[in-house]
Amino acid sequence: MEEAVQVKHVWMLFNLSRKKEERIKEYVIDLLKGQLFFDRFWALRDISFTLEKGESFGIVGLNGSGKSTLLKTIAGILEPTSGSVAVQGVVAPLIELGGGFDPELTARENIFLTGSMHGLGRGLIREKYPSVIEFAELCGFEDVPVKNFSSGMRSRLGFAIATAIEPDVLIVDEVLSVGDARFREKCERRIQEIIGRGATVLFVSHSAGQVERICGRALWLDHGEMRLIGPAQEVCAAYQDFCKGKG
Amino acid sequence: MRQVIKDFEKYGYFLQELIRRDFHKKYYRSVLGILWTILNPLLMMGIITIVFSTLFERSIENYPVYYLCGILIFNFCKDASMQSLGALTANAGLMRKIYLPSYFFPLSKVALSLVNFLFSMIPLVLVALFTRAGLHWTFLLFPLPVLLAAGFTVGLSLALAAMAVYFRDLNHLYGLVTLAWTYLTPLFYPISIIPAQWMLLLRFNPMFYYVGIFRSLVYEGTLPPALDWVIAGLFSILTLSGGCLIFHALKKGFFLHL
Repeated sequence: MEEAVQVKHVWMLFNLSRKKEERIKEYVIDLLKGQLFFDRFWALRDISFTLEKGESFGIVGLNGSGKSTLLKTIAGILEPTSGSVAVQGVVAPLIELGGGFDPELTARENIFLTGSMHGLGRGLIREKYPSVIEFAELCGFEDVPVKNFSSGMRSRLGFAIATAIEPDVLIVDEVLSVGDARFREKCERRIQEIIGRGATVLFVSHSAGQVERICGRALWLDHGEMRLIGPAQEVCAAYQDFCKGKG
Repeated sequence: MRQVIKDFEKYGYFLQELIRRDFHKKYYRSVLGILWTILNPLLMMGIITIVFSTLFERSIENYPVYYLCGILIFNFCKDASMQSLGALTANAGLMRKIYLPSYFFPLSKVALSLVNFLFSMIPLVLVALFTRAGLHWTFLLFPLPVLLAAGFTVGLSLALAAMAVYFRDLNHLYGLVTLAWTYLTPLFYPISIIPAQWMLLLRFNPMFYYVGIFRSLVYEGTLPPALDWVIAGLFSILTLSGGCLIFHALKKGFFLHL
Protein backbone atom coordinates (compact mmCIF):
# COMPACT_ATOMS: atom_id res chain seq x y z
CA MET A 1 0.00 0.00 0.00
CA GLU A 2 1.07 3.55 -0.70
CA GLU A 3 1.40 6.09 2.05
CA ALA A 4 -0.86 9.12 1.76
CA VAL A 5 0.01 10.95 4.95
CA GLN A 6 3.09 10.56 7.06
CA VAL A 7 3.35 12.37 10.38
CA LYS A 8 6.71 11.98 12.07
CA HIS A 9 7.44 13.09 15.63
CA VAL A 10 5.51 16.31 15.35
CA TRP A 11 5.85 18.78 18.19
CA MET A 12 4.05 22.08 18.15
CA LEU A 13 4.92 24.90 20.51
CA PHE A 14 2.65 27.89 20.97
CA ASN A 15 3.86 31.18 22.36
CA LEU A 16 0.73 32.67 23.73
CA SER A 17 0.96 36.32 24.38
CA ARG A 18 -1.12 37.28 27.40
CA LYS A 19 -2.56 40.19 25.55
CA LYS A 20 -5.38 39.77 23.13
CA GLU A 21 -4.28 42.31 20.62
CA GLU A 22 -0.79 43.63 20.21
CA ARG A 23 -0.21 47.27 19.74
CA ILE A 24 2.95 49.24 19.26
CA LYS A 25 2.00 51.40 22.23
CA GLU A 26 1.70 48.42 24.55
CA TYR A 27 4.80 46.80 23.14
CA VAL A 28 6.86 49.86 23.93
CA ILE A 29 5.37 50.13 27.42
CA ASP A 30 6.05 46.44 28.12
CA LEU A 31 9.54 46.73 26.75
CA LEU A 32 10.26 49.63 29.10
CA LYS A 33 8.81 47.73 32.04
CA GLY A 34 10.80 44.66 31.03
CA GLN A 35 7.67 42.57 30.84
CA LEU A 36 7.84 40.96 27.47
CA PHE A 37 6.63 37.52 28.49
CA PHE A 38 4.91 34.79 26.64
CA ASP A 39 3.10 31.78 27.95
CA ARG A 40 4.46 28.73 26.25
CA PHE A 41 2.71 25.50 25.85
CA TRP A 42 3.02 22.40 23.76
CA ALA A 43 -0.10 21.88 21.69
CA LEU A 44 1.23 18.67 20.18
CA ARG A 45 3.78 16.33 21.75
CA ASP A 46 5.55 13.78 19.64
CA ILE A 47 2.75 12.76 17.30
CA SER A 48 3.62 10.05 14.77
CA PHE A 49 1.42 7.99 12.51
CA THR A 50 1.11 6.92 8.90
CA LEU A 51 -2.02 6.75 6.80
CA GLU A 52 -2.29 4.58 3.77
CA LYS A 53 -4.06 5.57 0.61
CA GLY A 54 -7.79 4.97 0.84
CA GLU A 55 -7.81 4.80 4.60
CA SER A 56 -10.30 6.70 6.73
CA PHE A 57 -8.84 7.84 9.99
CA GLY A 58 -10.67 9.40 12.91
CA ILE A 59 -9.33 11.68 15.59
CA VAL A 60 -11.21 11.99 18.87
CA GLY A 61 -10.43 13.96 21.98
CA LEU A 62 -11.78 16.63 24.30
CA ASN A 63 -11.81 20.30 23.43
CA GLY A 64 -8.29 21.67 23.44
CA SER A 65 -6.63 18.32 23.04
CA GLY A 66 -4.88 19.41 19.84
CA LYS A 67 -7.16 17.85 17.21
CA SER A 68 -7.53 20.95 15.11
CA THR A 69 -3.86 21.85 15.49
CA LEU A 70 -2.93 18.43 14.18
CA LEU A 71 -5.25 18.80 11.20
CA LYS A 72 -3.81 22.22 10.47
CA THR A 73 -0.28 20.88 10.34
CA ILE A 74 -1.47 18.23 7.90
CA ALA A 75 -3.32 20.81 5.80
CA GLY A 76 -0.12 22.85 5.58
CA ILE A 77 -1.55 25.86 7.41
CA LEU A 78 0.81 25.40 10.35
CA GLU A 79 4.42 24.38 10.29
CA PRO A 80 5.34 22.06 13.16
CA THR A 81 7.97 23.32 15.60
CA SER A 82 9.84 20.09 15.08
CA GLY A 83 9.14 16.87 13.22
CA SER A 84 7.77 16.56 9.73
CA VAL A 85 4.54 16.05 7.86
CA ALA A 86 4.49 14.61 4.35
CA VAL A 87 1.33 14.45 2.28
CA GLN A 88 0.96 12.87 -1.16
CA GLY A 89 -1.44 14.67 -3.46
CA VAL A 90 -4.05 17.37 -3.00
CA VAL A 91 -5.35 18.11 0.49
CA ALA A 92 -8.77 19.66 0.84
CA PRO A 93 -9.82 20.94 4.22
CA LEU A 94 -13.55 21.17 4.66
CA ILE A 95 -14.13 24.69 5.81
CA GLU A 96 -16.62 24.37 8.61
CA LEU A 97 -19.95 26.09 8.19
CA GLY A 98 -18.79 27.61 4.94
CA GLY A 99 -16.47 29.90 6.88
CA GLY A 100 -14.64 30.85 3.73
CA PHE A 101 -17.65 32.45 2.14
CA ASP A 102 -17.99 36.09 1.47
CA PRO A 103 -21.48 37.00 2.68
CA GLU A 104 -21.88 39.82 0.18
CA LEU A 105 -21.36 37.56 -2.81
CA THR A 106 -23.93 35.24 -4.31
CA ALA A 107 -23.81 31.46 -4.09
CA ARG A 108 -22.52 31.28 -7.65
CA GLU A 109 -19.71 33.76 -7.01
CA ASN A 110 -18.81 32.01 -3.78
CA ILE A 111 -18.50 28.68 -5.52
CA PHE A 112 -15.96 30.19 -7.89
CA LEU A 113 -14.14 32.01 -5.09
CA THR A 114 -14.00 28.99 -2.78
CA GLY A 115 -13.06 26.69 -5.63
CA SER A 116 -10.17 28.99 -6.49
CA MET A 117 -9.00 28.86 -2.87
CA HIS A 118 -8.70 25.13 -3.24
CA GLY A 119 -6.47 25.74 -6.24
CA LEU A 120 -8.96 24.94 -8.99
CA GLY A 121 -9.05 26.84 -12.26
CA ARG A 122 -12.08 28.56 -13.72
CA GLY A 123 -12.76 25.86 -16.31
CA LEU A 124 -12.74 23.04 -13.79
CA ILE A 125 -15.06 24.90 -11.43
CA ARG A 126 -17.47 25.62 -14.25
CA GLU A 127 -17.53 21.93 -15.04
CA LYS A 128 -18.35 20.97 -11.47
CA TYR A 129 -20.73 23.82 -10.83
CA PRO A 130 -24.04 22.04 -11.64
CA SER A 131 -23.25 19.07 -9.41
CA VAL A 132 -22.33 21.36 -6.51
CA ILE A 133 -25.60 23.26 -6.75
CA GLU A 134 -27.50 20.04 -7.02
CA PHE A 135 -25.83 18.41 -4.04
CA ALA A 136 -26.25 21.52 -1.89
CA GLU A 137 -29.94 21.60 -2.90
CA LEU A 138 -29.69 25.24 -3.82
CA CYS A 139 -31.33 25.28 -7.26
CA GLY A 140 -33.04 28.62 -7.65
CA PHE A 141 -30.89 30.29 -4.98
CA GLU A 142 -27.78 30.58 -7.10
CA ASP A 143 -27.90 34.36 -7.41
CA VAL A 144 -28.87 35.11 -3.83
CA PRO A 145 -26.14 36.67 -1.65
CA VAL A 146 -24.91 34.13 0.88
CA LYS A 147 -25.68 36.49 3.78
CA ASN A 148 -29.36 35.75 3.18
CA PHE A 149 -28.81 31.99 3.48
CA SER A 150 -29.73 29.98 6.54
CA SER A 151 -26.83 28.35 8.36
CA GLY A 152 -27.97 24.99 7.02
CA MET A 153 -27.86 26.23 3.44
CA ARG A 154 -24.41 27.66 4.04
CA SER A 155 -22.94 24.49 5.46
CA ARG A 156 -24.51 22.44 2.67
CA LEU A 157 -22.83 24.67 0.14
CA GLY A 158 -19.50 24.45 1.98
CA PHE A 159 -19.65 20.68 2.08
CA ALA A 160 -20.70 20.42 -1.55
CA ILE A 161 -17.76 22.54 -2.73
CA ALA A 162 -15.07 20.81 -0.69
CA THR A 163 -16.18 17.35 -1.73
CA ALA A 164 -16.52 18.31 -5.39
CA ILE A 165 -12.78 18.88 -5.57
CA GLU A 166 -12.05 15.14 -5.54
CA PRO A 167 -9.05 15.55 -3.26
CA ASP A 168 -6.51 12.87 -2.44
CA VAL A 169 -6.78 13.70 1.23
CA LEU A 170 -10.01 15.12 2.62
CA ILE A 171 -9.96 16.73 6.04
CA VAL A 172 -13.32 16.86 7.78
CA ASP A 173 -13.35 18.91 10.97
CA GLU A 174 -16.61 18.79 12.92
CA VAL A 175 -18.61 19.79 9.87
CA LEU A 176 -21.00 16.93 10.13
CA SER A 177 -22.45 18.27 13.33
CA VAL A 178 -24.49 20.80 11.37
CA GLY A 179 -27.52 20.52 9.15
CA ASP A 180 -30.54 18.35 9.64
CA ALA A 181 -30.39 14.59 10.08
CA ARG A 182 -31.27 13.89 6.47
CA PHE A 183 -28.47 16.05 5.11
CA ARG A 184 -26.05 14.64 7.64
CA GLU A 185 -26.77 11.20 6.28
CA LYS A 186 -26.26 12.44 2.75
CA CYS A 187 -22.89 13.86 3.78
CA GLU A 188 -21.84 10.61 5.39
CA ARG A 189 -22.75 8.77 2.20
CA ARG A 190 -20.71 11.27 0.21
CA ILE A 191 -17.70 10.70 2.44
CA GLN A 192 -18.07 6.94 2.03
CA GLU A 193 -18.15 7.49 -1.73
CA ILE A 194 -14.95 9.54 -1.56
CA ILE A 195 -13.29 6.82 0.48
CA GLY A 196 -14.52 4.27 -2.05
CA ARG A 197 -12.87 6.32 -4.81
CA GLY A 198 -9.54 5.71 -3.10
CA ALA A 199 -9.09 8.99 -1.25
CA THR A 200 -7.81 9.24 2.29
CA VAL A 201 -10.14 10.84 4.80
CA LEU A 202 -9.15 12.45 8.08
CA PHE A 203 -12.15 12.89 10.26
CA VAL A 204 -12.45 14.83 13.50
CA SER A 205 -15.51 14.69 15.67
CA HIS A 206 -16.77 14.92 19.20
CA SER A 207 -19.17 12.19 18.35
CA ALA A 208 -17.47 8.83 18.83
CA GLY A 209 -20.43 7.19 17.11
CA GLN A 210 -19.77 8.98 13.83
CA VAL A 211 -16.09 8.13 13.95
CA GLU A 212 -16.94 4.48 14.51
CA ARG A 213 -19.32 4.43 11.54
CA ILE A 214 -17.03 6.17 9.07
CA CYS A 215 -13.48 5.31 10.09
CA GLY A 216 -11.40 2.19 10.09
CA ARG A 217 -8.74 3.43 12.48
CA ALA A 218 -8.73 6.16 15.05
CA LEU A 219 -6.45 8.20 17.28
CA TRP A 220 -7.33 9.53 20.72
CA LEU A 221 -5.54 12.75 21.57
CA ASP A 222 -5.26 13.92 25.14
CA HIS A 223 -3.53 17.22 25.99
CA GLY A 224 -1.54 17.05 22.80
CA GLU A 225 -0.33 13.50 23.38
CA MET A 226 -1.29 10.28 21.68
CA ARG A 227 -3.32 8.37 24.22
CA LEU A 228 -4.38 5.48 22.05
CA ILE A 229 -4.22 4.55 18.38
CA GLY A 230 -5.79 1.53 16.74
CA PRO A 231 -9.04 0.17 15.30
CA ALA A 232 -11.78 2.79 15.48
CA GLN A 233 -14.10 0.65 17.60
CA GLU A 234 -11.52 0.04 20.30
CA VAL A 235 -10.35 3.63 20.47
CA CYS A 236 -13.88 5.01 20.51
CA ALA A 237 -14.97 2.61 23.21
CA ALA A 238 -12.02 3.56 25.41
CA TYR A 239 -12.65 7.25 24.75
CA GLN A 240 -16.32 6.95 25.62
CA ASP A 241 -15.51 5.14 28.85
CA PHE A 242 -13.08 7.91 29.70
CA CYS A 243 -15.69 10.60 29.01
CA LYS A 244 -18.29 8.80 31.15
CA GLY A 245 -15.78 8.47 33.94
CA LYS A 246 -15.15 12.20 33.81
CA GLY A 247 -18.78 13.18 33.53
CA MET B 1 11.32 31.59 -5.57
CA ARG B 2 10.27 28.20 -6.86
CA GLN B 3 7.48 28.21 -4.30
CA VAL B 4 6.26 31.52 -5.68
CA ILE B 5 6.03 30.14 -9.20
CA LYS B 6 4.17 27.11 -7.88
CA ASP B 7 1.78 29.34 -5.95
CA PHE B 8 1.01 31.35 -9.06
CA GLU B 9 0.39 28.22 -11.08
CA LYS B 10 -1.99 26.73 -8.58
CA TYR B 11 -3.58 29.83 -7.09
CA GLY B 12 -3.38 32.28 -9.97
CA TYR B 13 -7.09 32.03 -10.50
CA PHE B 14 -7.61 32.68 -6.79
CA LEU B 15 -5.72 35.95 -7.12
CA GLN B 16 -7.98 36.94 -10.01
CA GLU B 17 -11.05 36.11 -7.97
CA LEU B 18 -9.74 38.15 -5.02
CA ILE B 19 -9.26 41.20 -7.19
CA ARG B 20 -12.63 40.72 -8.82
CA ARG B 21 -14.34 40.38 -5.45
CA ASP B 22 -12.88 43.64 -4.13
CA PHE B 23 -13.65 45.45 -7.34
CA HIS B 24 -17.19 44.19 -7.34
CA LYS B 25 -17.74 45.17 -3.71
CA LYS B 26 -16.32 48.60 -4.22
CA TYR B 27 -18.53 49.55 -7.11
CA TYR B 28 -21.45 47.20 -7.34
CA ARG B 29 -23.63 48.82 -4.74
CA SER B 30 -23.15 52.42 -5.77
CA VAL B 31 -25.40 54.02 -8.35
CA LEU B 32 -22.60 55.48 -10.40
CA GLY B 33 -20.49 52.36 -10.09
CA ILE B 34 -17.23 52.50 -11.90
CA LEU B 35 -17.87 56.09 -12.94
CA TRP B 36 -16.67 57.02 -9.46
CA THR B 37 -13.09 56.10 -10.33
CA ILE B 38 -13.30 58.65 -13.10
CA LEU B 39 -15.37 61.27 -11.31
CA ASN B 40 -13.45 61.20 -8.05
CA PRO B 41 -10.14 62.55 -9.41
CA LEU B 42 -12.04 65.13 -11.47
CA LEU B 43 -13.88 66.45 -8.43
CA MET B 44 -10.71 66.43 -6.32
CA MET B 45 -8.96 68.28 -9.10
CA GLY B 46 -11.75 70.84 -9.19
CA ILE B 47 -11.46 71.55 -5.47
CA ILE B 48 -7.67 71.66 -5.35
CA THR B 49 -7.52 73.80 -8.48
CA ILE B 50 -9.92 76.34 -7.00
CA VAL B 51 -7.98 76.45 -3.74
CA PHE B 52 -4.41 76.49 -4.99
CA SER B 53 -4.27 77.53 -8.62
CA THR B 54 -4.31 81.27 -7.94
CA LEU B 55 -1.56 80.77 -5.37
CA PHE B 56 0.74 79.08 -7.84
CA GLU B 57 -0.58 80.74 -10.97
CA ARG B 58 2.73 82.11 -12.07
CA SER B 59 4.89 79.04 -11.50
CA ILE B 60 2.54 76.37 -12.82
CA GLU B 61 0.78 76.62 -16.10
CA ASN B 62 -2.17 74.33 -16.57
CA TYR B 63 -2.53 73.58 -12.89
CA PRO B 64 -5.20 70.84 -13.28
CA VAL B 65 -2.93 68.58 -15.34
CA TYR B 66 0.04 69.27 -13.07
CA TYR B 67 -1.99 68.31 -10.04
CA LEU B 68 -3.62 65.22 -11.59
CA CYS B 69 -0.30 63.79 -12.74
CA GLY B 70 1.06 63.92 -9.22
CA ILE B 71 -1.94 62.89 -7.21
CA LEU B 72 -2.94 59.91 -9.37
CA ILE B 73 0.35 58.13 -9.06
CA PHE B 74 0.69 59.12 -5.41
CA ASN B 75 -2.80 57.88 -4.58
CA PHE B 76 -2.12 54.58 -6.30
CA CYS B 77 0.72 53.94 -3.89
CA LYS B 78 -1.08 55.37 -0.86
CA ASP B 79 -4.36 53.50 -1.41
CA ALA B 80 -2.63 50.20 -2.10
CA SER B 81 -0.42 50.39 0.99
CA MET B 82 -3.27 51.61 3.21
CA GLN B 83 -5.53 48.76 2.16
CA SER B 84 -2.74 46.23 2.45
CA LEU B 85 -2.42 47.11 6.12
CA GLY B 86 -5.66 45.34 6.83
CA ALA B 87 -5.42 42.72 4.10
CA LEU B 88 -4.15 39.88 6.28
CA THR B 89 -6.13 40.62 9.42
CA ALA B 90 -9.36 40.88 7.42
CA ASN B 91 -8.79 37.40 6.02
CA ALA B 92 -7.57 35.87 9.27
CA GLY B 93 -10.53 33.51 9.49
CA LEU B 94 -9.78 32.15 6.08
CA MET B 95 -6.07 31.75 6.65
CA ARG B 96 -6.71 29.73 9.77
CA LYS B 97 -8.72 27.17 7.85
CA ILE B 98 -7.02 26.62 4.56
CA TYR B 99 -3.54 26.97 3.15
CA LEU B 100 -3.32 29.99 0.88
CA PRO B 101 -0.29 31.96 -0.22
CA SER B 102 -0.75 34.80 2.27
CA TYR B 103 1.12 37.39 0.22
CA PHE B 104 -1.68 37.22 -2.33
CA PHE B 105 -3.90 39.29 -0.05
CA PRO B 106 -1.74 42.44 -0.08
CA LEU B 107 -0.84 41.73 -3.69
CA SER B 108 -4.50 41.78 -4.69
CA LYS B 109 -4.89 45.20 -3.06
CA VAL B 110 -2.00 46.56 -5.09
CA ALA B 111 -3.47 45.08 -8.26
CA LEU B 112 -6.86 46.60 -7.49
CA SER B 113 -5.32 50.02 -6.92
CA LEU B 114 -3.43 49.65 -10.17
CA VAL B 115 -6.67 48.95 -12.02
CA ASN B 116 -8.18 52.03 -10.39
CA PHE B 117 -5.17 54.05 -11.43
CA LEU B 118 -5.52 52.93 -15.04
CA PHE B 119 -9.18 53.95 -15.04
CA SER B 120 -8.26 57.34 -13.63
CA MET B 121 -5.89 57.86 -16.56
CA ILE B 122 -9.08 58.52 -18.55
CA PRO B 123 -9.93 61.79 -16.76
CA LEU B 124 -6.26 62.81 -16.97
CA VAL B 125 -6.27 62.42 -20.75
CA LEU B 126 -9.64 64.16 -21.02
CA VAL B 127 -8.47 67.12 -18.96
CA ALA B 128 -5.23 67.36 -20.91
CA LEU B 129 -7.17 67.47 -24.18
CA PHE B 130 -9.88 69.77 -22.83
CA THR B 131 -7.42 72.34 -21.51
CA ARG B 132 -5.69 72.36 -24.90
CA ALA B 133 -2.49 71.20 -23.25
CA GLY B 134 -2.50 68.25 -25.59
CA LEU B 135 -0.40 65.14 -25.24
CA HIS B 136 3.20 64.65 -26.26
CA TRP B 137 4.76 61.54 -27.71
CA THR B 138 6.46 60.98 -24.38
CA PHE B 139 3.02 60.16 -23.00
CA LEU B 140 3.45 56.73 -24.52
CA LEU B 141 6.24 56.02 -22.02
CA PHE B 142 3.94 56.52 -19.01
CA PRO B 143 3.79 52.78 -18.13
CA LEU B 144 7.49 52.87 -17.17
CA PRO B 145 7.21 55.12 -14.09
CA VAL B 146 3.97 53.33 -13.19
CA LEU B 147 5.81 50.03 -13.28
CA LEU B 148 8.58 51.41 -11.08
CA ALA B 149 6.04 52.83 -8.64
CA ALA B 150 4.22 49.48 -8.65
CA GLY B 151 7.40 47.63 -7.68
CA PHE B 152 7.95 50.06 -4.83
CA THR B 153 4.30 49.76 -3.78
CA VAL B 154 4.35 45.96 -3.74
CA GLY B 155 7.41 45.98 -1.47
CA LEU B 156 5.93 48.58 0.85
CA SER B 157 2.55 46.83 0.97
CA LEU B 158 4.06 43.44 1.78
CA ALA B 159 6.09 44.89 4.63
CA LEU B 160 3.16 46.86 6.05
CA ALA B 161 0.71 43.96 5.76
CA ALA B 162 3.08 41.64 7.62
CA MET B 163 3.86 44.16 10.35
CA ALA B 164 0.18 45.00 10.83
CA VAL B 165 -0.39 41.40 11.94
CA TYR B 166 1.89 42.02 14.91
CA PHE B 167 0.88 45.58 15.62
CA ARG B 168 -2.77 46.30 15.11
CA ASP B 169 -2.42 50.03 15.69
CA LEU B 170 0.00 50.42 12.82
CA ASN B 171 -2.78 51.88 10.68
CA HIS B 172 -3.11 54.91 12.97
CA LEU B 173 0.59 55.55 12.73
CA TYR B 174 0.64 54.99 9.00
CA GLY B 175 -2.24 57.41 8.53
CA LEU B 176 0.00 60.12 9.99
CA VAL B 177 2.96 59.00 7.91
CA THR B 178 0.98 59.28 4.69
CA LEU B 179 -0.24 62.74 5.72
CA ALA B 180 3.34 63.91 6.12
CA TRP B 181 4.24 62.11 2.93
CA THR B 182 1.52 63.97 1.01
CA TYR B 183 3.09 67.28 1.99
CA LEU B 184 6.65 66.11 1.40
CA THR B 185 5.84 65.24 -2.19
CA PRO B 186 5.35 68.10 -4.63
CA LEU B 187 1.77 67.22 -5.51
CA PHE B 188 -0.07 70.51 -5.40
CA TYR B 189 2.83 72.92 -5.12
CA PRO B 190 5.69 73.54 -7.58
CA ILE B 191 9.12 72.12 -6.79
CA SER B 192 10.55 75.63 -7.07
CA ILE B 193 9.02 76.75 -3.75
CA ILE B 194 11.02 74.21 -1.75
CA PRO B 195 13.91 75.85 0.15
CA ALA B 196 17.30 74.49 -0.85
CA GLN B 197 18.05 72.95 2.55
CA TRP B 198 14.87 70.87 2.38
CA MET B 199 15.53 69.69 -1.12
CA LEU B 200 17.89 67.04 0.24
CA LEU B 201 15.09 65.53 2.32
CA LEU B 202 12.88 65.30 -0.73
CA ARG B 203 15.59 63.43 -2.55
CA PHE B 204 15.10 60.57 -0.09
CA ASN B 205 11.44 60.37 -0.96
CA PRO B 206 10.91 57.69 -3.65
CA MET B 207 7.58 59.24 -4.56
CA PHE B 208 9.45 62.39 -5.57
CA TYR B 209 11.01 60.45 -8.46
CA TYR B 210 7.96 58.50 -9.57
CA VAL B 211 5.84 61.64 -9.61
CA GLY B 212 8.66 63.61 -11.22
CA ILE B 213 9.22 61.13 -14.05
CA PHE B 214 5.52 60.65 -14.67
CA ARG B 215 4.98 64.37 -14.75
CA SER B 216 7.79 65.13 -17.14
CA LEU B 217 6.52 62.46 -19.54
CA VAL B 218 2.84 63.38 -19.39
CA TYR B 219 2.76 67.04 -18.39
CA GLU B 220 5.97 68.56 -19.70
CA GLY B 221 6.53 66.23 -22.62
CA THR B 222 10.23 65.90 -21.91
CA LEU B 223 12.41 62.92 -21.11
CA PRO B 224 13.52 62.92 -17.48
CA PRO B 225 17.28 62.86 -16.81
CA ALA B 226 18.93 59.46 -16.71
CA LEU B 227 19.95 59.88 -13.08
CA ASP B 228 16.29 60.15 -12.05
CA TRP B 229 15.54 56.86 -13.77
CA VAL B 230 18.44 55.16 -12.02
CA ILE B 231 17.50 56.43 -8.57
CA ALA B 232 13.83 55.58 -9.10
CA GLY B 233 14.78 52.09 -10.24
CA LEU B 234 17.05 51.59 -7.24
CA PHE B 235 14.30 52.66 -4.84
CA SER B 236 11.92 50.19 -6.49
CA ILE B 237 14.29 47.23 -6.40
CA LEU B 238 15.42 47.89 -2.83
CA THR B 239 11.91 48.36 -1.49
CA LEU B 240 10.58 45.37 -3.37
CA SER B 241 13.28 43.01 -2.13
CA GLY B 242 13.17 44.49 1.37
CA GLY B 243 9.41 44.00 1.50
CA CYS B 244 9.69 40.40 0.36
CA LEU B 245 12.34 39.68 2.99
CA ILE B 246 10.34 41.27 5.80
CA PHE B 247 7.20 39.42 4.77
CA HIS B 248 9.05 36.13 4.60
CA ALA B 249 10.65 36.64 7.99
CA LEU B 250 7.39 37.55 9.71
CA LYS B 251 5.26 34.93 7.94
CA LYS B 252 6.06 32.18 10.43
CA GLY B 253 4.41 33.96 13.30
CA PHE B 254 1.25 34.98 11.46
CA PHE B 255 -0.76 32.10 12.71
CA LEU B 256 -0.20 32.91 16.37
CA HIS B 257 -1.04 36.55 15.96
CA LEU B 258 -3.98 36.48 13.59
